[in-house]
Amino acid sequence: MGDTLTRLINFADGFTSATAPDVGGTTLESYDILNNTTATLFTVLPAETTSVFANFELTRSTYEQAGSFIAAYGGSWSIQFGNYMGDDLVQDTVVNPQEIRLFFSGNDLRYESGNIGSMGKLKLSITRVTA
Amino acid sequence: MTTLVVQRLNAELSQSFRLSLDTRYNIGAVIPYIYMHNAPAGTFTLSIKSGATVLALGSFTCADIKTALGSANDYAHVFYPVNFETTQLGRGTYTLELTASGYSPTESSYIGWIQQHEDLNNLLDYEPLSDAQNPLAFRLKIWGIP
Repeated sequence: MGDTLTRLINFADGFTSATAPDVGGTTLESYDILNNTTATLFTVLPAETTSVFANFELTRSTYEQAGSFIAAYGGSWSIQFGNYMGDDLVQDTVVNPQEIRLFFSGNDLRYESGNIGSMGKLKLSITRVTA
Repeated sequence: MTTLVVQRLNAELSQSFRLSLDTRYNIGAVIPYIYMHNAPAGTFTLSIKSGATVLALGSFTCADIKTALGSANDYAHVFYPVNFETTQLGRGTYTLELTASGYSPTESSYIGWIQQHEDLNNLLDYEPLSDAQNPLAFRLKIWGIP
């Protein structure tokens, strides 16, 4: 368990570089969703990234949702969720214990979880549009 | 061109390994395959642990990596030796843990640990289904073994 942040780095010949190598367009990340917790998943700096496109899979106990969201910066971060399949776990307000809320606080994408009694997992396939 | 599968260090990264022979291994250094992305500030510590007990540890900075490479470049991938006082390990399973202090990673500046395919040095007890499931690569400097 624990957070994993996978990056695909396309490094030119040699072992060092004075300039940043190309980073693969899609990154794979996974986060533990702790029970009854509000915490930060990751931080997006608008100086580096202007838009985030993500597909996700959220599992909590026997519940599972696969879906997507878009986050865009226009002075502040806003997030909009798209189609999904499976259980309706991501909500604007946590009512049932299996639900979570995903929201931005400043530049931090955060989650608020219900008291389901067991840890869940959020897996993300993310594409960041650089500034 | 080389494509690297990198695990970005946030709080910690860990990789287990198993010493199989019924003998005492004199470990002089652990050599993780490190990726440096824009030379972030901070001190990075690699520990050998048995359960929760730290048996040995060594630290390094990005400045140390650049000095070892003889380069002023801020982006690099390298098998970087982390030295510590020689530690004897017996047969068993251990964990390498990479942590940091004074380190605030962003997408433009971070340290990572590179994954490689399973080989004689990086044995797995599961079958990886993709490159993302490969182990975090490292070598051991064992005194007495060439």
